Amino acid sequence: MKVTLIVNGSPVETDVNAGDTLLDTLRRLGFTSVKDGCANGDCGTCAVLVDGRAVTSCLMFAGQAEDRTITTLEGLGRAGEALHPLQQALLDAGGVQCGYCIPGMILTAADLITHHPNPTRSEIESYLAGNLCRCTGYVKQVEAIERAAEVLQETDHG
Amino acid sequence: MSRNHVHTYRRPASQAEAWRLIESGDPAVRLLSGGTDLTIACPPEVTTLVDVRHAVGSTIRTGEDGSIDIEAMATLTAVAEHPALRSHVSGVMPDMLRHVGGPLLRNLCTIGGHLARGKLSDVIPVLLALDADVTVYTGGAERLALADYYESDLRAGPHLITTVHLPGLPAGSASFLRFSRTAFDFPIINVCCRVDGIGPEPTDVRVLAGATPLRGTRANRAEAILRGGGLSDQSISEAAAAARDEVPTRSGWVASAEYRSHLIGVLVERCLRRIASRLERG
Repeated sequence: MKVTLIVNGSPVETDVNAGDTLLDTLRRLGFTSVKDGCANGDCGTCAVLVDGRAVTSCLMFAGQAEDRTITTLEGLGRAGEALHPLQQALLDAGGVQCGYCIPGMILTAADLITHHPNPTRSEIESYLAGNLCRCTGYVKQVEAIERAAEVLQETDHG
Repeated sequence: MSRNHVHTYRRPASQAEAWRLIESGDPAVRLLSGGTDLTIACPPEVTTLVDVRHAVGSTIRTGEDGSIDIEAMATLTAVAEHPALRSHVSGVMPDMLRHVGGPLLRNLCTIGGHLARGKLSDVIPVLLALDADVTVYTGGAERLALADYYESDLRAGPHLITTVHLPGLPAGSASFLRFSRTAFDFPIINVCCRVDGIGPEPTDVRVLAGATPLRGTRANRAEAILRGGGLSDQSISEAAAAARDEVPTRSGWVASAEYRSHLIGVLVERCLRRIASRLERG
Protein backbone atom coordinates (compact mmCIF):
# COMPACT_ATOMS: atom_id res chain seq x y z
CA MET A 1 0.00 0.00 0.00
CA LYS A 2 1.05 3.61 -0.39
CA VAL A 3 1.54 5.88 2.61
CA THR A 4 2.45 9.52 2.74
CA LEU A 5 4.70 10.50 5.59
CA ILE A 6 5.83 14.04 6.33
CA VAL A 7 9.45 13.46 7.24
CA ASN A 8 11.58 16.38 8.41
CA GLY A 9 9.16 18.79 6.77
CA SER A 10 8.89 17.10 3.38
CA PRO A 11 6.08 14.82 2.21
CA VAL A 12 7.33 11.39 1.23
CA GLU A 13 5.07 8.93 -0.58
CA THR A 14 6.25 5.36 -0.40
CA ASP A 15 5.07 1.78 -0.86
CA VAL A 16 4.98 -0.30 2.30
CA ASN A 17 3.69 -3.69 3.29
CA ALA A 18 0.64 -3.35 5.53
CA GLY A 19 2.52 -4.89 8.44
CA ASP A 20 5.70 -2.80 8.13
CA THR A 21 6.74 -0.75 11.12
CA LEU A 22 7.64 2.90 10.92
CA LEU A 23 11.19 1.90 11.86
CA ASP A 24 11.56 -0.39 8.85
CA THR A 25 10.05 2.23 6.56
CA LEU A 26 12.24 5.11 7.70
CA ARG A 27 15.41 3.08 7.39
CA ARG A 28 14.43 1.91 3.92
CA LEU A 29 13.92 5.57 2.99
CA GLY A 30 17.50 6.27 4.09
CA PHE A 31 16.93 7.84 7.50
CA THR A 32 19.63 5.74 9.10
CA SER A 33 19.86 7.79 12.27
CA VAL A 34 16.84 5.70 13.25
CA LYS A 35 18.53 2.63 14.68
CA ASP A 36 17.16 -0.89 14.65
CA GLY A 37 18.24 -1.91 18.13
CA CYS A 38 15.92 -4.30 19.92
CA ALA A 39 12.85 -3.89 17.65
CA ASN A 40 10.90 -4.61 20.80
CA GLY A 41 10.24 -1.21 22.38
CA ASP A 42 12.89 -1.64 25.03
CA CYS A 43 16.01 0.26 23.94
CA GLY A 44 14.79 3.59 22.50
CA THR A 45 17.38 3.73 19.72
CA CYS A 46 14.63 3.95 17.08
CA ALA A 47 12.93 6.95 18.71
CA VAL A 48 11.56 9.62 16.38
CA LEU A 49 9.19 12.52 16.95
CA VAL A 50 5.67 11.95 15.66
CA ASP A 51 3.60 15.13 15.85
CA GLY A 52 6.22 16.42 18.27
CA ARG A 53 6.17 13.51 20.71
CA ALA A 54 8.96 10.94 20.97
CA VAL A 55 7.90 7.40 20.17
CA THR A 56 9.65 4.13 19.50
CA SER A 57 9.20 3.70 15.76
CA CYS A 58 9.50 -0.08 16.13
CA LEU A 59 6.17 -0.05 18.01
CA MET A 60 4.29 1.86 15.33
CA PHE A 61 3.03 0.60 12.00
CA ALA A 62 3.90 2.76 9.00
CA GLY A 63 0.19 3.10 8.30
CA GLN A 64 -0.30 4.79 11.66
CA ALA A 65 2.09 7.53 10.61
CA GLU A 66 0.10 8.42 7.48
CA ASP A 67 -0.06 12.21 7.10
CA ARG A 68 1.64 12.76 10.45
CA THR A 69 4.70 14.90 11.03
CA ILE A 70 7.83 12.85 11.66
CA THR A 71 11.16 14.24 12.78
CA THR A 72 14.32 12.15 12.72
CA LEU A 73 17.72 13.33 13.85
CA GLU A 74 18.45 14.28 10.22
CA GLY A 75 15.75 16.92 10.61
CA LEU A 76 17.14 18.41 13.78
CA GLY A 77 20.64 19.36 12.71
CA ARG A 78 23.41 18.07 10.46
CA ALA A 79 27.18 17.97 10.62
CA GLY A 80 28.60 21.10 9.04
CA GLU A 81 25.43 23.06 9.70
CA ALA A 82 24.14 24.72 12.83
CA LEU A 83 23.62 22.02 15.43
CA HIS A 84 20.57 21.86 17.63
CA PRO A 85 21.40 22.97 21.21
CA LEU A 86 20.92 19.39 22.37
CA GLN A 87 23.51 18.14 19.88
CA GLN A 88 25.94 20.90 20.79
CA ALA A 89 25.48 20.32 24.51
CA LEU A 90 26.15 16.60 24.11
CA LEU A 91 29.34 17.33 22.21
CA ASP A 92 30.44 19.89 24.79
CA ALA A 93 29.68 17.58 27.72
CA GLY A 94 31.38 14.54 26.21
CA GLY A 95 28.06 12.76 26.31
CA VAL A 96 28.62 10.80 23.10
CA GLN A 97 30.75 7.68 23.07
CA CYS A 98 29.80 4.96 20.60
CA GLY A 99 26.88 7.16 19.55
CA TYR A 100 24.39 4.40 18.81
CA CYS A 101 21.82 5.52 21.37
CA ILE A 102 22.30 9.24 20.76
CA PRO A 103 19.76 9.92 17.97
CA GLY A 104 16.94 8.40 20.03
CA MET A 105 18.15 10.07 23.17
CA ILE A 106 18.30 13.50 21.54
CA LEU A 107 14.78 13.18 20.14
CA THR A 108 13.41 12.01 23.48
CA ALA A 109 15.11 14.96 25.14
CA ALA A 110 13.73 17.28 22.46
CA ASP A 111 10.22 16.10 23.34
CA LEU A 112 10.95 16.69 27.03
CA ILE A 113 12.29 20.21 26.75
CA THR A 114 9.60 21.22 24.27
CA HIS A 115 6.80 20.18 26.60
CA HIS A 116 8.61 20.78 29.90
CA PRO A 117 11.05 23.61 29.15
CA ASN A 118 12.61 23.72 32.60
CA PRO A 119 13.01 20.05 33.58
CA THR A 120 14.51 18.98 36.88
CA ARG A 121 17.32 16.45 36.91
CA SER A 122 14.85 13.87 38.19
CA GLU A 123 12.45 14.61 35.33
CA ILE A 124 15.28 14.24 32.80
CA GLU A 125 16.32 10.93 34.31
CA SER A 126 12.80 9.53 34.28
CA TYR A 127 12.18 10.80 30.73
CA LEU A 128 15.22 8.86 29.55
CA ALA A 129 13.89 5.67 31.15
CA GLY A 130 13.30 4.12 27.73
CA ASN A 131 16.64 5.10 26.16
CA LEU A 132 19.39 2.65 26.96
CA CYS A 133 23.08 3.63 26.78
CA ARG A 134 25.70 0.99 27.46
CA CYS A 135 28.73 3.32 27.28
CA THR A 136 28.37 6.37 29.45
CA GLY A 137 26.23 5.71 32.50
CA TYR A 138 24.01 8.67 31.55
CA VAL A 139 25.68 11.30 33.75
CA LYS A 140 27.11 13.36 30.90
CA GLN A 141 23.95 13.04 28.87
CA VAL A 142 21.74 14.26 31.72
CA GLU A 143 24.11 17.19 32.26
CA ALA A 144 23.97 17.99 28.55
CA ILE A 145 20.18 17.99 28.49
CA GLU A 146 20.13 20.31 31.52
CA ARG A 147 22.51 22.64 29.68
CA ALA A 148 20.53 22.51 26.44
CA ALA A 149 17.34 23.36 28.31
CA GLU A 150 19.11 26.38 29.81
CA VAL A 151 20.36 27.48 26.40
CA LEU A 152 16.91 27.17 24.88
CA GLN A 153 15.39 29.11 27.78
CA GLU A 154 17.95 31.88 27.30
CA THR A 155 17.29 31.91 23.56
CA ASP A 156 13.52 32.02 24.06
CA HIS A 157 13.72 34.75 26.65
CA GLY A 158 16.67 36.59 25.18
CA MET B 1 10.52 -6.77 5.61
CA SER B 2 7.39 -7.38 7.59
CA ARG B 3 7.66 -8.99 11.00
CA ASN B 4 4.11 -10.42 10.79
CA HIS B 5 1.58 -11.81 8.30
CA VAL B 6 -0.46 -8.64 7.89
CA HIS B 7 -1.33 -7.84 4.27
CA THR B 8 -4.32 -5.48 4.60
CA TYR B 9 -4.59 -2.18 6.44
CA ARG B 10 -7.99 -0.51 6.84
CA ARG B 11 -8.76 2.99 8.11
CA PRO B 12 -12.50 3.23 8.83
CA ALA B 13 -13.81 6.76 9.11
CA SER B 14 -16.55 5.98 11.63
CA GLN B 15 -17.35 3.59 14.43
CA ALA B 16 -20.11 2.05 12.31
CA GLU B 17 -17.61 1.37 9.53
CA ALA B 18 -15.10 -0.08 11.99
CA TRP B 19 -17.83 -2.31 13.38
CA ARG B 20 -18.71 -3.65 9.94
CA LEU B 21 -15.08 -4.69 9.54
CA ILE B 22 -14.85 -6.56 12.85
CA GLU B 23 -18.37 -7.77 13.60
CA SER B 24 -17.87 -11.24 12.11
CA GLY B 25 -15.32 -11.98 14.80
CA ASP B 26 -12.86 -13.23 12.18
CA PRO B 27 -9.58 -13.85 14.08
CA ALA B 28 -7.66 -12.66 11.01
CA VAL B 29 -8.99 -9.14 11.58
CA ARG B 30 -7.65 -7.15 14.52
CA LEU B 31 -8.42 -3.67 15.81
CA LEU B 32 -5.41 -1.39 16.02
CA SER B 33 -5.27 1.52 18.47
CA GLY B 34 -1.79 2.38 19.79
CA GLY B 35 -0.13 -0.62 18.17
CA THR B 36 2.42 -1.24 20.90
CA ASP B 37 1.40 -4.86 21.35
CA LEU B 38 0.62 -5.77 17.76
CA THR B 39 3.89 -4.48 16.33
CA ILE B 40 5.93 -6.86 18.46
CA ALA B 41 3.55 -9.74 19.05
CA CYS B 42 1.09 -9.89 16.20
CA PRO B 43 -0.60 -13.30 16.28
CA PRO B 44 0.23 -15.31 13.14
CA GLU B 45 -3.43 -15.58 12.15
CA VAL B 46 -3.84 -11.80 11.91
CA THR B 47 -3.75 -10.58 8.31
CA THR B 48 -5.88 -7.40 8.49
CA LEU B 49 -5.44 -4.42 10.77
CA VAL B 50 -8.32 -2.00 11.39
CA ASP B 51 -6.75 1.29 12.46
CA VAL B 52 -9.43 3.20 14.41
CA ARG B 53 -7.60 6.55 14.61
CA HIS B 54 -10.21 8.23 12.41
CA ALA B 55 -13.17 6.38 13.94
CA VAL B 56 -12.53 7.03 17.62
CA GLY B 57 -11.59 10.40 19.07
CA SER B 58 -8.77 11.37 21.41
CA THR B 59 -10.33 14.38 23.11
CA ILE B 60 -10.58 14.82 26.88
CA ARG B 61 -13.66 16.75 28.02
CA THR B 62 -14.62 18.01 31.44
CA GLY B 63 -18.16 18.38 32.79
CA GLU B 64 -19.52 21.02 35.15
CA ASP B 65 -20.06 18.30 37.76
CA GLY B 66 -16.35 17.49 37.80
CA SER B 67 -16.72 14.49 35.52
CA ILE B 68 -14.16 13.81 32.80
CA ASP B 69 -14.72 11.96 29.53
CA ILE B 70 -11.62 10.56 27.86
CA GLU B 71 -12.02 9.40 24.28
CA ALA B 72 -10.34 6.06 23.82
CA MET B 73 -7.59 7.11 21.40
CA ALA B 74 -6.16 9.57 23.92
CA THR B 75 -2.60 8.54 24.68
CA LEU B 76 -1.48 7.87 28.22
CA THR B 77 0.68 10.99 27.92
CA ALA B 78 -2.34 13.12 26.96
CA VAL B 79 -4.19 11.79 30.00
CA ALA B 80 -1.22 12.36 32.30
CA GLU B 81 -0.69 15.93 31.12
CA HIS B 82 -4.31 17.08 31.05
CA PRO B 83 -4.91 19.76 33.70
CA ALA B 84 -8.31 18.36 34.68
CA LEU B 85 -6.78 14.98 35.48
CA ARG B 86 -4.07 16.61 37.56
CA SER B 87 -6.69 18.02 39.90
CA HIS B 88 -9.15 15.11 39.79
CA VAL B 89 -9.07 13.21 43.12
CA SER B 90 -5.63 14.46 44.12
CA GLY B 91 -4.19 13.73 40.69
CA VAL B 92 -4.03 10.00 41.21
CA MET B 93 -4.23 9.24 37.47
CA PRO B 94 -1.17 11.29 36.42
CA ASP B 95 0.64 10.11 39.54
CA MET B 96 0.06 6.50 38.50
CA LEU B 97 0.81 7.06 34.80
CA ARG B 98 4.33 8.29 35.62
CA HIS B 99 5.07 4.65 36.44
CA VAL B 100 3.64 3.08 33.28
CA GLY B 101 6.48 2.16 30.92
CA GLY B 102 8.48 5.18 29.81
CA PRO B 103 7.51 8.30 27.85
CA LEU B 104 8.27 6.62 24.51
CA LEU B 105 5.61 4.04 25.29
CA ARG B 106 3.13 6.43 26.92
CA ASN B 107 3.24 8.64 23.84
CA LEU B 108 1.93 5.74 21.75
CA CYS B 109 -0.20 3.68 24.08
CA THR B 110 -3.89 4.67 24.08
CA ILE B 111 -6.16 4.36 27.07
CA GLY B 112 -8.74 2.41 25.07
CA GLY B 113 -6.20 -0.05 23.74
CA HIS B 114 -4.78 -0.46 27.22
CA LEU B 115 -8.18 -1.27 28.71
CA ALA B 116 -8.99 -3.69 25.90
CA ARG B 117 -5.69 -5.47 26.53
CA GLY B 118 -6.89 -5.86 30.10
CA LYS B 119 -3.95 -7.36 31.94
CA LEU B 120 -0.80 -6.49 33.87
CA SER B 121 -2.07 -2.98 34.26
CA ASP B 122 -1.50 -0.11 36.66
CA VAL B 123 -4.26 1.86 34.94
CA ILE B 124 -7.15 -0.55 35.53
CA PRO B 125 -7.13 -0.66 39.36
CA VAL B 126 -6.99 3.14 39.48
CA LEU B 127 -9.91 3.51 37.08
CA LEU B 128 -11.85 0.91 39.08
CA ALA B 129 -11.11 2.86 42.27
CA LEU B 130 -12.44 6.00 40.58
CA ASP B 131 -15.70 4.20 39.62
CA ALA B 132 -15.01 4.67 35.90
CA ASP B 133 -17.49 3.73 33.20
CA VAL B 134 -16.70 2.87 29.59
CA THR B 135 -18.73 3.25 26.43
CA VAL B 136 -18.44 0.23 24.18
CA TYR B 137 -19.58 0.12 20.55
CA THR B 138 -21.01 -3.08 19.14
CA GLY B 139 -23.13 -1.67 16.34
CA GLY B 140 -24.65 0.67 18.94
CA ALA B 141 -23.12 2.42 21.92
CA GLU B 142 -23.52 1.01 25.40
CA ARG B 143 -22.22 2.63 28.59
CA LEU B 144 -21.41 0.39 31.52
CA ALA B 145 -19.23 0.35 34.61
CA LEU B 146 -15.64 -0.64 33.87
CA ALA B 147 -15.95 -3.35 36.52
CA ASP B 148 -18.98 -4.76 34.69
CA TYR B 149 -17.17 -4.58 31.34
CA TYR B 150 -14.52 -6.94 32.65
CA GLU B 151 -17.18 -9.32 33.96
CA SER B 152 -19.38 -9.17 30.86
CA ASP B 153 -19.57 -11.38 27.78
CA LEU B 154 -18.66 -8.33 25.68
CA ARG B 155 -14.97 -9.08 25.95
CA ALA B 156 -15.40 -12.47 24.34
CA GLY B 157 -16.63 -10.93 21.09
CA PRO B 158 -15.72 -8.06 18.79
CA HIS B 159 -16.20 -4.65 20.38
CA LEU B 160 -14.74 -1.17 20.35
CA ILE B 161 -14.09 0.87 23.50
CA THR B 162 -14.82 4.47 22.55
CA THR B 163 -14.82 6.51 25.78
CA VAL B 164 -13.74 6.27 29.39
CA HIS B 165 -15.91 8.25 31.80
CA LEU B 166 -14.72 9.41 35.21
CA PRO B 167 -17.51 10.65 37.48
CA GLY B 168 -17.21 13.84 39.49
CA LEU B 169 -16.41 12.69 43.01
CA PRO B 170 -16.81 14.35 46.43
CA ALA B 171 -13.82 16.04 48.03
CA GLY B 172 -11.33 13.49 49.27
CA SER B 173 -8.11 11.90 48.20
CA ALA B 174 -6.69 8.84 46.49
CA SER B 175 -3.30 7.21 46.38
CA PHE B 176 -1.62 4.61 44.18
CA LEU B 177 1.46 2.51 44.82
CA ARG B 178 3.04 -0.28 42.85
CA PHE B 179 5.83 -2.76 43.35
CA SER B 180 7.87 -4.24 40.51
CA ARG B 181 11.31 -5.74 40.03
CA THR B 182 12.52 -2.66 38.16
CA ALA B 183 10.86 0.70 37.59
CA PHE B 184 10.31 -0.19 33.91
CA ASP B 185 8.82 -3.61 34.56
CA PHE B 186 5.22 -4.77 34.83
CA PRO B 187 3.88 -4.56 38.38
CA ILE B 188 4.09 -7.55 40.68
CA ILE B 189 1.31 -5.97 42.67
CA ASN B 190 -0.31 -2.56 42.80
CA VAL B 191 -2.81 -0.88 45.09
CA CYS B 192 -5.13 2.08 44.77
CA CYS B 193 -7.14 3.51 47.66
CA ARG B 194 -9.72 6.29 47.50
CA VAL B 195 -11.34 8.01 50.46
CA ASP B 196 -14.25 10.41 49.98
CA GLY B 197 -14.98 13.05 52.60
CA ILE B 198 -12.60 15.24 54.50
CA GLY B 199 -13.91 14.71 58.07
CA PRO B 200 -13.07 11.89 60.48
CA GLU B 201 -15.65 9.57 58.91
CA PRO B 202 -15.26 8.83 55.20
CA THR B 203 -18.44 9.01 53.12
CA ASP B 204 -17.10 6.29 50.86
CA VAL B 205 -13.98 4.21 50.38
CA ARG B 206 -12.38 2.09 47.71
CA VAL B 207 -9.49 -0.30 48.30
CA LEU B 208 -8.27 -2.21 45.26
CA ALA B 209 -5.32 -4.45 44.54
CA GLY B 210 -4.31 -5.18 40.98
CA ALA B 211 -1.77 -6.91 38.75
CA THR B 212 -2.32 -10.29 40.41
CA PRO B 213 -5.23 -10.97 40.34
CA LEU B 214 -5.03 -9.68 36.83
CA ARG B 215 -7.04 -6.47 36.80
CA GLY B 216 -8.13 -5.20 40.17
CA THR B 217 -9.99 -6.73 43.07
CA ARG B 218 -11.89 -4.75 45.69
CA ALA B 219 -11.03 -5.51 49.29
CA ASN B 220 -14.56 -5.34 50.68
CA ARG B 221 -13.70 -6.15 54.29
CA ALA B 222 -11.00 -3.53 54.32
CA GLU B 223 -13.43 -0.98 52.92
CA ALA B 224 -16.00 -1.84 55.62
CA ILE B 225 -13.40 -1.35 58.37
CA LEU B 226 -12.54 2.11 57.03
CA ARG B 227 -16.19 3.12 56.61
CA GLY B 228 -16.78 2.28 60.27
CA GLY B 229 -13.51 3.41 61.78
CA GLY B 230 -12.30 6.22 59.53
CA LEU B 231 -8.59 6.77 59.03
CA SER B 232 -7.41 6.17 62.59
CA ASP B 233 -4.08 4.37 63.02
CA GLN B 234 -5.93 1.30 64.23
CA SER B 235 -8.43 1.11 61.41
CA ILE B 236 -5.71 1.67 58.81
CA SER B 237 -3.70 -1.23 60.24
CA GLU B 238 -6.78 -3.44 60.43
CA ALA B 239 -7.85 -2.54 56.89
CA ALA B 240 -4.37 -3.32 55.55
CA ALA B 241 -4.40 -6.70 57.27
CA ALA B 242 -7.89 -7.43 55.96
CA ALA B 243 -6.88 -6.54 52.40
CA ARG B 244 -3.80 -8.73 52.70
CA ASP B 245 -5.92 -11.69 53.80
CA GLU B 246 -8.95 -11.30 51.55
CA VAL B 247 -7.55 -10.49 48.10
CA PRO B 248 -6.69 -13.72 46.29
CA THR B 249 -3.15 -13.90 44.89
CA ARG B 250 -1.28 -16.50 42.92
CA SER B 251 2.29 -17.61 42.55
CA GLY B 252 4.28 -16.87 39.41
CA TRP B 253 7.89 -16.84 38.37
CA VAL B 254 8.51 -13.35 39.76
CA ALA B 255 6.78 -13.70 43.14
CA SER B 256 4.96 -16.20 45.31
CA ALA B 257 1.33 -15.79 46.32
CA GLU B 258 2.45 -15.27 49.94
CA TYR B 259 4.81 -12.48 48.96
CA ARG B 260 2.17 -10.75 46.86
CA SER B 261 -0.28 -10.92 49.78
CA HIS B 262 2.35 -9.41 52.05
CA LEU B 263 2.90 -6.61 49.53
CA ILE B 264 -0.82 -5.88 49.38
CA GLY B 265 -0.88 -5.32 53.15
CA VAL B 266 2.16 -3.05 53.03
CA LEU B 267 0.98 -1.00 50.05
CA VAL B 268 -2.59 -0.58 51.36
CA GLU B 269 -1.24 0.69 54.66
CA ARG B 270 1.11 3.14 52.93
CA CYS B 271 -1.62 4.40 50.58
CA LEU B 272 -4.04 4.95 53.45
CA ARG B 273 -1.44 6.73 55.61
CA ARG B 274 -0.57 8.98 52.69
CA ILE B 275 -4.27 9.82 52.23
CA ALA B 276 -4.75 10.42 55.98
CA SER B 277 -1.77 12.74 56.00
CA ARG B 278 -3.08 14.69 53.01
CA LEU B 279 -6.56 15.02 54.48
CA GLU B 280 -5.15 16.15 57.85
CA ARG B 281 -3.15 18.87 56.12
CA GLY B 282 -6.31 19.88 54.24
